[in-house]
Amino acid sequence: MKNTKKILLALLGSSCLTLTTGCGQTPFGALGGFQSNETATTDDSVNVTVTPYALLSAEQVYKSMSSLTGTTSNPRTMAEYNARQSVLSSSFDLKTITSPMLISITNLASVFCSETLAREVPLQSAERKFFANVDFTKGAKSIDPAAYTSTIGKLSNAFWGRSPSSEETQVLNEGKEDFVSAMTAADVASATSSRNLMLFACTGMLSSFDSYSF
Amino acid sequence: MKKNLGLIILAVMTVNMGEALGQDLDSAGVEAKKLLERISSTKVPGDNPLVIAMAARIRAGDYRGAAEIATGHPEFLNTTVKLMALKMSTREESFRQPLNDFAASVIGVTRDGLDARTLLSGDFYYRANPLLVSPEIAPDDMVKDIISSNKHYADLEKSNLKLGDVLIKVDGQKLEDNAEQIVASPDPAGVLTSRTFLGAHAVDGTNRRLVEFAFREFMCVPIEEWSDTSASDVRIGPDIDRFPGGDHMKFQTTCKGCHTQMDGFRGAFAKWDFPRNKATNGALTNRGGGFNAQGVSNKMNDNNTVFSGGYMTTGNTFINNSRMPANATLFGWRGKVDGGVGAKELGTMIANSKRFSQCMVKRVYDAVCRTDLDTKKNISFLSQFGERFEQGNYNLKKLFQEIAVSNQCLGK
Repeated sequence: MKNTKKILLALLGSSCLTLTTGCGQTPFGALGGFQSNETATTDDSVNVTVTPYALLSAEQVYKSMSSLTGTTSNPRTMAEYNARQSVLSSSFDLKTITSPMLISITNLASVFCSETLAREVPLQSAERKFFANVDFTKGAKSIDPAAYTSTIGKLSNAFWGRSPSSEETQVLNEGKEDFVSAMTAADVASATSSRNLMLFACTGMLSSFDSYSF
Repeated sequence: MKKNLGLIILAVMTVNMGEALGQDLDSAGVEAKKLLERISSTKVPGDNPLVIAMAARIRAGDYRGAAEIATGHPEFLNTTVKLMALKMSTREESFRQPLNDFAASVIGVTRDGLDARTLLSGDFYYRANPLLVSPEIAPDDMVKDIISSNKHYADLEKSNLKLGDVLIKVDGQKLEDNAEQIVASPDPAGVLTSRTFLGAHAVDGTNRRLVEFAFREFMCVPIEEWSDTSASDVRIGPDIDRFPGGDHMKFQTTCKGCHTQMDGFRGAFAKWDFPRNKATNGALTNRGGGFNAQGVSNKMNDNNTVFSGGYMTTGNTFINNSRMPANATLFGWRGKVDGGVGAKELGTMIANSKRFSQCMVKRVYDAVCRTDLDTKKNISFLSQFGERFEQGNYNLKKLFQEIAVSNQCLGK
């Protein structure tokens, strides 16, 4: 039940991020925004279509998540991929996005984030790449706004190559508040809740549009 | 060259250690990241050493240099080139399938900077170097693991090894004859005679599909776009009804268009067949059943009572019926163009055409720029980059680099 709630929260987060990310940088996209390859044309004389965004295929999603989180492929990530890959994309066309695909991407992201946390939590703070400012010996309530903002900034730079926009930061902060308020006092005080909060933030960001599109 | 690249990356990393995680990339960094992601097919974090090195090149206006660095990413061969090749290798045209010998050859030829035309005429294949992989992956039984199954390549992919590091070129394509001996292929034609391509298109049927897909994948034209009812029907087989539904006009105006083309060329594959999960050729001494005295596969002349006046195949010669004005312009034939003998000569004819170069441009553009380039609307673009591809000695890696930083792909 708790897991279901977390997945729902992560999906909510990633859906919101999907709507807000991607507008901050369009390095090759004079056109920007969501466009299919049928409408985007650079020049009448050279009728080459340009797609500012394209979907990652199944294998590319898996390898991208591995690359972005620095998590090498392992039996756990492979098992999740094998369970989900049939509904991931077989093409680059954004029009092929489906709800089951988004759910699968979120599930796969959660496993990569879980592996990332498993790797970083035992490390000294200074040795961590993403979660240097989080005290995993204390509950989620102990994570102050500065530490949370710093962490999502690191995740954002790794996953999206930029800082989060103010809207994205707001969505993630609201997600944190919802996450904490949904827990009992005992749960929120337990050390596990810090890890779960970070899993929520990481999963939401790793399953956002910027992370599964080019 | 590799050593120089390593030194450049190290030097740039030393200068740009400030570009660590936690800081926004500048515009050159953002462009470098995007370029690397397109060429490697995977998202990368902003602090990836290659991004930092590429950004320095981009700041200096050297986009091509940045692209050269990007093709050093292992996923360029492991994913981008592999997926492009997998899509070309089977009838389904899907990249959702295991690594196979066709894709391994395309990866190897790209990595080694070989002339891409050898993909259609060379006598070689690629497999894992047994010295670099575990014994479970190195095939101990050539027939079981490579000639009659895809096991070796599927195992290699599952191992998660970097394909660019472990693939090795092996000269001399091999078949197993009817006496269960491994013998040299009598008609090697690069990936056209790979197990995967023959398994997809020479299994059963009439070997017309081999022609259709050779042109579809390496000339980027579906059969309906090069059908030509004005060409000679002398080579059309006896299994094709000249009076479909009792109407000879229907044959003359529709059926004939495709069959003049396919049947003219299909003689090149007359001696090839794919029974029992492995390729075989009628020119082998111990070829077994399924062939006539001339070594022609029986399926070439099956159903010969449909139109008994049709062309009976007696050897593996072929003629080029695609030289009428429309198709001559489309394909841009060069060299020996009237006809030939066997798959190797057909592969050579295709690879020497202008259209082959243009098709490779489309394949690379689609792979890197994430789209489906309309060949009809972009012929001038295809010609321009096709000529550059030829001037660069048909080097696929260079083509990837040029296409990835072209204004069209960058959207500039």
